[in-house]
Amino acid sequence: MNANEAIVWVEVAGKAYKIGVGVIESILAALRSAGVEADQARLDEIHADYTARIARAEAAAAGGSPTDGP
Amino acid sequence: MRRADRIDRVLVVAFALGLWACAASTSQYHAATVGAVTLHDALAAVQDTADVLHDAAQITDAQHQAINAKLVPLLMLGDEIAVTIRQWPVGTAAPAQLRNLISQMGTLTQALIDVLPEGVAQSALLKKALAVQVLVTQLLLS
Repeated sequence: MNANEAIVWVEVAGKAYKIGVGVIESILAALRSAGVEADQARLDEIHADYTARIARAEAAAAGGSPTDGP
Repeated sequence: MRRADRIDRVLVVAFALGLWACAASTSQYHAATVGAVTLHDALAAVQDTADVLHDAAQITDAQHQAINAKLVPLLMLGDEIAVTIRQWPVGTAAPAQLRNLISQMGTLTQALIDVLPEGVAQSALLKKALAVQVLVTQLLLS
């Protein structure tokens, strides 16, 4: 822990621990990053599904069978 | 209060403010993702149901064609919304383009709802479900 870093005292089961703010910040940043990555993965899935659905709808709009794919 | 204590307190306050700002931008990104997923699910349900109804001869070829013709621009719009959110750098303001895309949703959805046939129980349910989901999506994305 950096000597100039702000610290937070945390009491667990009657014992006090000091934790550097940087450590907490790193943990939270990792959690945030995992959440954003999950959202981005879902958006990628949606994009792939839209691509297939657009082709299917275009074929059906042109009078093709709904099961006719590209 | 010692000077070092004051500095520590200022740092803790600054840290808390920074954390709050990051959490706000991340939750905004997540809400937008939920909106995009909701819209996708609604449009997918319409497309799949239209196909099932068509296969079961509950709707005519012409009705099926008309529904799909109105679905194409909505699917393209939904895709553009998903891609825009995907490319949105986390921690920055929502892209202005997102608002423009959302504003087009109402007209296109109404055009689709207009061609969904009356008299088919599933379609009535579908219309309500679509309207509700699109409304929720607009709220989440705005």
